[in-house]
Amino acid sequence: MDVYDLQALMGENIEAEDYRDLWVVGLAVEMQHVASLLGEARRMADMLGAYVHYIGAGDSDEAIAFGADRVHTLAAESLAPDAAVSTLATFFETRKPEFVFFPATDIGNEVAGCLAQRLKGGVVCNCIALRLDESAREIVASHPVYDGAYYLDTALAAKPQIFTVREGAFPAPLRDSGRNGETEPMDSPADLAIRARALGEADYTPPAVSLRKAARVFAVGRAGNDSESAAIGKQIAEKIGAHFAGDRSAFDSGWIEEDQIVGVNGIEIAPDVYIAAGIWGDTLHRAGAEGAKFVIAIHPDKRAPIFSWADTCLVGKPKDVLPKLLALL
Amino acid sequence: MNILVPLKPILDPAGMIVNRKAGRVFVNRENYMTNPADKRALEAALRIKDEAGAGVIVAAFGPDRSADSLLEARAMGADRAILIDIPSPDETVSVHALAALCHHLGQVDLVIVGDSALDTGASIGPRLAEALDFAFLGGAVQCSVEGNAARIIRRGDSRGRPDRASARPAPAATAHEADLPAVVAVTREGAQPRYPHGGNIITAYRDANAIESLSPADLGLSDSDLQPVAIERGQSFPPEREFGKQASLDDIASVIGHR
Amino acid sequence: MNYDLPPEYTALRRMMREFCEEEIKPAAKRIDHSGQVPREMLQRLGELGFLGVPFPRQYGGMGAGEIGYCILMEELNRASPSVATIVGAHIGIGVMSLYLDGSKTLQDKYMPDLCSGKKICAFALTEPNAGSDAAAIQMRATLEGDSYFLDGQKMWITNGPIADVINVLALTDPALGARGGATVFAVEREWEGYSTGKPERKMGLHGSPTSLLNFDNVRVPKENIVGQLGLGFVTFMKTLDIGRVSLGAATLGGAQAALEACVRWARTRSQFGRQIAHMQSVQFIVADMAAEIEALRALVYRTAWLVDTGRPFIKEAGMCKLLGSETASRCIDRAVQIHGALGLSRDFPLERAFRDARISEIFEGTNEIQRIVIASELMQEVGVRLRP
Ligand SMILES: Cc1cc2nc3c(=O)[nH]c(=O)nc-3n(C[C@H](O)[C@H](O)[C@H](O)COP(=O)(O)OP(=O)(O)OC[C@H]3O[C@@H](n4cnc5c(N)ncnc54)[C@H](O)[C@@H]3O)c2cc1C
Repeated sequence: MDVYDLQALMGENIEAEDYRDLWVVGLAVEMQHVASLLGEARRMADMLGAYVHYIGAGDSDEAIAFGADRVHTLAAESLAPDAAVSTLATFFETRKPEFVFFPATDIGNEVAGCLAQRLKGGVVCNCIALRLDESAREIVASHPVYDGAYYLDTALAAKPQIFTVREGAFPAPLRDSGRNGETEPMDSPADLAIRARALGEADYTPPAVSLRKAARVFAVGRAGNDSESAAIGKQIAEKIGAHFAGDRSAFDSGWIEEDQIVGVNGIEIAPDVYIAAGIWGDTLHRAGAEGAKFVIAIHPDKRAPIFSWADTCLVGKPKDVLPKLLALL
Repeated sequence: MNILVPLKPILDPAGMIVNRKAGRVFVNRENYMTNPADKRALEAALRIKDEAGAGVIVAAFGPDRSADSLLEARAMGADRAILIDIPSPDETVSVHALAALCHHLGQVDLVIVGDSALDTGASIGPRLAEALDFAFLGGAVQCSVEGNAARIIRRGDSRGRPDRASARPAPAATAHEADLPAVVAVTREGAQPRYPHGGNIITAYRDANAIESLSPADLGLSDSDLQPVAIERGQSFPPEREFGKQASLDDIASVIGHR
Repeated sequence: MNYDLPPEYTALRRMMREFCEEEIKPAAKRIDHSGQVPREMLQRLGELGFLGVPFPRQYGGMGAGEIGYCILMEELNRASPSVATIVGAHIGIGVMSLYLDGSKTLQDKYMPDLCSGKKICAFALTEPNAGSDAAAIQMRATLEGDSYFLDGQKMWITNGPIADVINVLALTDPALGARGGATVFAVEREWEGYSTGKPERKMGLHGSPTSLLNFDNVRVPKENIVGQLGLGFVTFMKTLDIGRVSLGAATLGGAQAALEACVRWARTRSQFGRQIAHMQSVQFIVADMAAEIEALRALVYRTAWLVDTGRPFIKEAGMCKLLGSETASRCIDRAVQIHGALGLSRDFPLERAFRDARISEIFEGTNEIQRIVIASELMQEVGVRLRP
């Protein structure tokens, strides 16, 4: 029995200005992500003396084990964005949520936004950290801006305070299968107000991207490579959706074309991820590649300069490493 | 048919240096540009105009910095540009004001927005749809109008993993539609915006009437509509990059999978 | 005093910069190595109005005046001097002579296609025996009925191999010579008797084709006289005067690119355990470059403003070309030095910039001729007339 039932029993007016509890909404996402939200909500709820509710279609026992006090199961028809908004908005009309958490998926962001508008609350999307100020009953959310160059810390001056949270923001919670909780189905409103229609698969080829603008680049160099392993490098590139490239030495070895040379004397790149296998990484190459946001380097010589500007490093011959890497991916 | 495209001027990151160690953002050159996703939204609207015929109206908040975004849009082919006299509104106030603008304009059949603002992460699309009681279609890389419906294509790999392509093979793109009126949110992978003809830039800038201004009062907005909800409490920073960290092959495979 | 460019020019520069960075710069190396600018690229420039920046909207131009045109040349040359040279010869001297003195009929006939990039224009003055001494031209135009017949040869003509419309100066009255007896004609490439030589093999500007033009009794209707009969030399000299301003702007873009490369490399390259930016000799070079470039920028845009406001500008135009070409060559030479071996690599843009820049000291009037122009303007102010 939760506070709403008590209020109902005692005939209290639930229209009162009291927003309560923490609500985690999981719409068709992996339990792992939802579990970390539940764990964090549990922690905050204990500080605030509040309950944790889980709304979703998933396994309710799991939700309880990860920290929910009460599970409101969503019917499958309420999982589509439009339907979820109608269902949740109707449900929340009588129960005023204080804090609501969604996984920051596209659906989560969409539903959270609509819900904030309906409930006249506030929303922050794509949060990577939440800090609770329990005396002010306020959460300050950090969310990335400028493609993650830095984070803005935002608080919300309206209730409910709604947040969509990126995967990996919180550690995986402990699973306590001894926890108790209740489960009840959530009614779907008669009119789900579904307006968006899915038309199935579409014929769409994303426009070709040049190496200069590629989001992922996999490049090979001469060190510890041979033509066979360079070819495996090319396969890896294909598999992970990266552009295949190399340094000058790879060009000299005939493994890449001239317009695939990365460096100031070739093509300058700034991908999200740059993987360099067998590239020494001197100034000429570095100046053309160091715009990469994340660099993974594999090189047989631990003194290779590339290790001084790579985020993740492996000392080893690409010849030996690449076949194993291909198998792992 | 009328299409409204809201445009947000943002600080150009090319003039910014983010110093994680000092925990500060240094602005070396204070240049502004139109939020990239918004520019793709404008391109989507202009393509509909080219193909099916439509009036394209762009709107931005001001007075500062917005003129360039609006005039550039006029040069690209927008028929009207409206400057709403509210300085840097948050997501909530933007939604109130844009919904009021739609009512003020009368017949707006389609609103095309950028799916999120690079500088604040604000994403007005779903909220605006809700405020207007329009249908919402998000994550569009292509948008068209077929009869009385908006139709979009959504990339298969964008759902659930925003911002980056997944290492898993990409699921197929999907089509979605909704009857007009609707709000469509276009991602940064939408069609490449056109360059305006240089002469149109000169004409737009020299036309004293290229931009229409509206005040909150013109839109019937009350003080409470102008109350921001998002309150900026500062900035925080990702940890500094650490170079030279050794990793195992498994680590590398999983890093590649996650990035 | 107001040194702000009006906002439309800032917006125009933003658009041009973006286009040049995205569409031209990545192709610059290929253009140099293949010796060709793809026609589609010129077409694209035309679609955006780039090929008619200073000309009125009604002809498909931008109506952006000399200032707008200088911005274009600066940005184009910052990305690819080959493309800039094609465009410069097309707009700055080719179409410009048609625009300055051509009849309305002729302008209506050619300018829309020229501004949109459907057709490319050339300016043909130089002959084997008439370079700096342009008045020594020998090409003849003989009247027969309603047409002139052009006979002779032009040399070193930018866009020669690709031009569709050629403005050419020929003697209509050999007795009077160039001053009073020369006339400009607009010639179309398909006309019988017109042919071009093979592209010259030059030190730089490999993507900008230069060639000989042969006129073997080419019949040109009278209506295709540009300006007045006998006053063609004046038309061409006026055209060259204006052309020098935008050529100065182009050199500014080249110098600027060199400076940007140096600043970047100074921070990137380390020797003796520190970035070479910390070496004082490198700092001095970069500082000198920046100072010279800033002075050039001020001169170029002030001169463009003189043109747009209808004031005398001939002296300043000569200075733009003189100071600009020498500043660019000097800056690029120093930039090569700062880059060490990389500066000489054909895979790095500076080697190309070095070759491309040198030509600016020669064409559109050698720098010696510019000095003569400047000096004669100066002397004229005190009542001394120098003989050409
Ligand atoms: C790439 C390129 C493109 C060109 N494009 C065109 C074009 O589109 N249209 C066109 O008509 N022409 C064009 N030209 C020709 C160019 O304008 C001439 O080359 C230039 O005017 C110099 O003439 P010249 O080469 O005959 O040198 P010359 O006149 O023979 O000069 C040789 C040297 O003597 C010096 N000199 C000559 N007279 C004097 C003097 N009175 N006082 C002091 N010094 C003097 C010169 O400065 C020079 O150093 C082009 C040339 C090049 C290289």
